[in-house]
Amino acid sequence: LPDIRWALELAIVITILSGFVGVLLRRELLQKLLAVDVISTGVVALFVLVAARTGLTTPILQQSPDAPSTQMADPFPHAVILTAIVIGLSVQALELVLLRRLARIHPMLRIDDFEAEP
Amino acid sequence: MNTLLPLLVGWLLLPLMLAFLAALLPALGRWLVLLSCLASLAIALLLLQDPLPDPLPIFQSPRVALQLDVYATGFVLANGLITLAVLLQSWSSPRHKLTWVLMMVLHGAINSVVLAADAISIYVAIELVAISAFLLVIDPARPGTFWVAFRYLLISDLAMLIYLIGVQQAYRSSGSFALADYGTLPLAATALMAVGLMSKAGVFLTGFWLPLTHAQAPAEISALLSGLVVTAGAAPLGRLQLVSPSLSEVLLGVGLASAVIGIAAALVQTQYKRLLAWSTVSQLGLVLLVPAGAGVLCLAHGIAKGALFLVAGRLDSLELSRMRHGGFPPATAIPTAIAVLSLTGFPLLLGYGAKGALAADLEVPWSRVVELLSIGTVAVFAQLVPWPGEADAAMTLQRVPAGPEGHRWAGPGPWLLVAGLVLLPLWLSQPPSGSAFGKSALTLAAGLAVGWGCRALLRDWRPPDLERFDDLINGFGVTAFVVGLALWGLRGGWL
Repeated sequence: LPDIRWALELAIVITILSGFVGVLLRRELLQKLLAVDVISTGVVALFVLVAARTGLTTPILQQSPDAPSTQMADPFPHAVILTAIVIGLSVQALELVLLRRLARIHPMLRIDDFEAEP
Repeated sequence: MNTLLPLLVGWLLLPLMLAFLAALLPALGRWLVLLSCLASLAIALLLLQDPLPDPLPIFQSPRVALQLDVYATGFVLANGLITLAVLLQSWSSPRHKLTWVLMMVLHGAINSVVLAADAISIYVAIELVAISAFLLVIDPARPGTFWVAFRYLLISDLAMLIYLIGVQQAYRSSGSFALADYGTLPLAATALMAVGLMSKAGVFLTGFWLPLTHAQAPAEISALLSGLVVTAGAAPLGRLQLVSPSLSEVLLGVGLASAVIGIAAALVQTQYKRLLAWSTVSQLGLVLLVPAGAGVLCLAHGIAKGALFLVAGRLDSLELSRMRHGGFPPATAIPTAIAVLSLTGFPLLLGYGAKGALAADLEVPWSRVVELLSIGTVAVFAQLVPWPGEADAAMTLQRVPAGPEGHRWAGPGPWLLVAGLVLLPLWLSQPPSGSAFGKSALTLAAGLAVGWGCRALLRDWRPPDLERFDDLINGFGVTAFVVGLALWGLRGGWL
């Protein structure tokens, strides 16, 4: 499906940019954190897209030698982004735990309240 | 060579496995940290004694590369020494029960990051560094550290996502994750990867999260952050610079800007740890100037700055105006003075050889600029010295009492690092030339004069706040744009 490729790419770029704008403009820490998650979704999609250049089939070698093996997705970006997803999840989890502690200091979690402190 | 390989793999895995063990047997924790530090020191000294002629690949699949080479030696040595010093300093009073486990994870992750020669190993190791540093920064007893730690992890997360976008672009064009294949990449790929790493290294604009974090963290942790965690950005950035000369040229500008702004900001601080943290920004800027010497520079800076932060942890007051007037007991002043002299490149100390390598690798106008910057470094630390006859009526009233508090020992950690500053130059054989002492004395005198002058002139001036969160996020956009534009220009795009 080469003809919708540019559309997919455009959608991903919009996702990443909207996440970036969210991190910048939102005033509450939880929303900033979720905006970072939006960026990370975009980054995952980018890697999936680059893996699809070589084909769309799951990259598992068939036992029979005559099975077609040319249209497989590139496994390396998949492996890489799987690692990145796991790391991203654990980082987000840590940040959420700390956010609960921060909510005891300023329950509204507004960034200006935290930055105003010395 | 082949006999060395299993040893190296074992050494890389050792701190991480010992961290698991320490989590199960907390009583053994400090001894296990000691074991991992000694292992790293042994490897580093082995490499110093007998430098590898060629890079030694440890894992070499088509897409993953870890290699031990001369470039990594300085970083590994710094990692061993600084972790050991922090361990000795907090031997009997770890801040919380996970301290030892986290220190080992950090130690192992930094060893991996300096050996990593492919984009993905670098990414994974940096994330590991960031997570363990984040957990170390949190001090349960001081809620003030929570916000700083949260901010650190959020910015780090964002930096690594930007880095990953760059890696994706690089893979699309080169079909590989190995840095060796990244000589000619599309602009966006190089710029985004570099911006992500620059943020981790704490240099110009994207790295300005650093001073607040390093100043707020507990003193021992600040020593780890300023001495080691920044190398997790600087080491891979240097490797990227080595394969991409046009990036090197762009980062020359970034490094100089970082060095100048770091010194300017440090000059107007009123709190000692903030002064040290801004000085880290300026020193890391110098590291960017010569990628091949990054290891030695990071080693010299990390040891000196580590010692300074560890001493700061034993001081009663960190207000500079107070420290000038009796807040510095003699027992803590000696290691501080030696570390500061090394930072300014005084002969016979480790910083001299590092600064010498810096000046030798740069072309003429830039090496002169670097010499001027050493005057700036002296001026920063002149904030600690009262000028003759300087007296502050308010301060003399509340002079720090010279009781048992006033005669406190600096602790074993700073002395270990100071010993390193004095002894390592003997090992690395950096004999100072005859004129070096005179030149250095001149730098010190000029720096003191500049520092005192700035203090007298800028007494009532407050610097603009460069560290607001939104400005830092804007900084990512601006830096990526500027680095991209500069790379484009260097490749003939402007013509």
